[in-house]
Amino acid sequence: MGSGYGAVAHPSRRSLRSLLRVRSNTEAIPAVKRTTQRARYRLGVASRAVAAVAGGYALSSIATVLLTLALPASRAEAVLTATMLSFLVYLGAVVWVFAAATAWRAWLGLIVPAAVLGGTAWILRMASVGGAS
Amino acid sequence: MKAGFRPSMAWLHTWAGLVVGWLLFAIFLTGTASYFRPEITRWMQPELHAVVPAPDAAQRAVARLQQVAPRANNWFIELPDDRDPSMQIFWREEGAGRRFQRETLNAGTGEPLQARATRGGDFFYRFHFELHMPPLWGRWVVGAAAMIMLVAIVSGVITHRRIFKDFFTFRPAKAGQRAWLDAHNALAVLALPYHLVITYTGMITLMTMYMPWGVDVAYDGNRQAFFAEMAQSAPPKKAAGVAAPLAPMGPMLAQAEHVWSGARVSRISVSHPGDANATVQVTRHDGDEMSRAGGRLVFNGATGALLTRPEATPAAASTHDMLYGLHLGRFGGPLLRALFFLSGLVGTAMVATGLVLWAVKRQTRTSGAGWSAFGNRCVEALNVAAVTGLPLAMAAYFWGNRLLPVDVAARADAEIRCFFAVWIVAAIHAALRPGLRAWREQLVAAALLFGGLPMLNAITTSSHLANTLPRGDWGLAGVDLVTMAIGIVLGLVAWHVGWRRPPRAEARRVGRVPMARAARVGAD
Repeated sequence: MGSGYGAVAHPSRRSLRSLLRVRSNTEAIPAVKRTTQRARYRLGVASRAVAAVAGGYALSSIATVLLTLALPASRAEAVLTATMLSFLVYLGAVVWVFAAATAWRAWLGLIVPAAVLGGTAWILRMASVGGAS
Repeated sequence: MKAGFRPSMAWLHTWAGLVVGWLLFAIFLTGTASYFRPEITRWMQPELHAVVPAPDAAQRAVARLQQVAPRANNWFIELPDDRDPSMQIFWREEGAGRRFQRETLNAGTGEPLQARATRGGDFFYRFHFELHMPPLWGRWVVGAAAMIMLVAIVSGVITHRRIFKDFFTFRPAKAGQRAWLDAHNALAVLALPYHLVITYTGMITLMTMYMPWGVDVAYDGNRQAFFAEMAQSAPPKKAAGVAAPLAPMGPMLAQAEHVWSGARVSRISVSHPGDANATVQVTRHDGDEMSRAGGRLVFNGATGALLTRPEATPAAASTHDMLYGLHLGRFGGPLLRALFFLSGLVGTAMVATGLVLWAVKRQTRTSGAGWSAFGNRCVEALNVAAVTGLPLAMAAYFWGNRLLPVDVAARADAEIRCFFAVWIVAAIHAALRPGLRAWREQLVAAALLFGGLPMLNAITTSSHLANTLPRGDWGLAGVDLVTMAIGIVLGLVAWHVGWRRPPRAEARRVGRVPMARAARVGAD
């Protein structure tokens, strides 16, 4: 995004910069600290991008698997329902990642549900495999 | 909503929009053109314009197939309909691998027809979801773009605070970004349900490619079993080795139409023709029913007896078929199709105004030096290359169809090369010419190419407006009329872009280097 040093930061950027506790008057901050903040900001954005694209896909895949196993319908029906809903899960994950207050929270908000859903799916899978054999 | 939610969604909308904006423009525009795929294909094959399909066209196709491919394992027939009177036959010889051979037939006589080789509207249709790339790659890129589009729509709605009040706001007189923002908002909200549905259902059409994990876990990795179950088709029977003539098509098609309450047959697929275990599968015309469910019937090829038991489609499968059909949008009459087409254009314009808004906003906010200026220039050039370059390329495709000699080798590919050649030239032009000039010159060029198409049509063929309008051939006349309308609209936009430059911007432009000149676009 534009450098804007000496200008007021764009409103959509303020929410992320505010996490770094930066004063809006950037002229008083030494150059080294500005560079560090800029790098941290970019790292945060990159981290969220990875979380959104890869983490979101992983979470929606896990949700698909869980729904497929958990839905009380025939195989094909469960698969179709789960797959059709997966894109909404992905959408929710992406919105969460960029709405979260920090990049850490963004990741946590993906990892914790993924673990819970994944664990449940794994249990269901073991149960169904065990019951079938 | 927490403080910072709307701003973060605004940030997300801006950047998601930029990352895939140019790609989405191409996907939207070619997809919108695909609503008239049969009409475009027909327009591009003037040799077929006089054909009137015979009532027993299917039987004639079978007769021709028996001539050219008596020992093939599979025959496919695409029947003519009111939008595309061409009839295609395909066959696959044993041991020929997966390649099909094909022939176009005169649907009135069943004889092979020599029409100029062209991909027709299929080129735009395939480009829409494959981008003329190797199929898997193209579909993944389009799928990723579609997902980001969905994110952009939802984040855009979240960001838009006064979404209902703002719908009636358009301030074209206000300089720069306010007018573009209003236009972008109005276009987005005008067809918002359409944008949401088309994006979501677009991903649904290829969902088992994008999200196969449910299939894998439920079918232990056997995806073929899933697809077979979805198609509700019986496992293909092996050839019996006993010769038996194929039952006549007429009664089978009539029975299919009866089962489908009047819907037409569009495709016939014959397995092991001439064998006792032959099967004939008929597919319903997707213009007659929104959902694909129940659209396939299988007959015993030797006796003509119907094998498929009509079954109620279960809920999720029915929903999936409905969503699929919603995206294809082939159902409904001319009025609904026109509305879909207009909605598609609105969506395309939404993407375009978003891209221009990004460039305009960026230029008013940055210092205009160094990397910022380079980035701005890049975005501006890519905007022109996409928003005017692609329509130019599409017009060139039509011009190529009329101007290229009929018997040139690999003619269909030659037409496609016209498309890409003009697009590349437009992109280079966009990179070299400064902002407003590039826009204006390309808009004028596109206006001339589109507006001049009916005239080119009149010079090169006899299927021009003076002939097609009196006989009521709206499929052909429509292509001419719509391209003429597009030409007029583009011409008006070019005039507006060229005329509305305020005098003070002119004075400032004198004596500036091109980089800074490009930044002046925001001042308009």
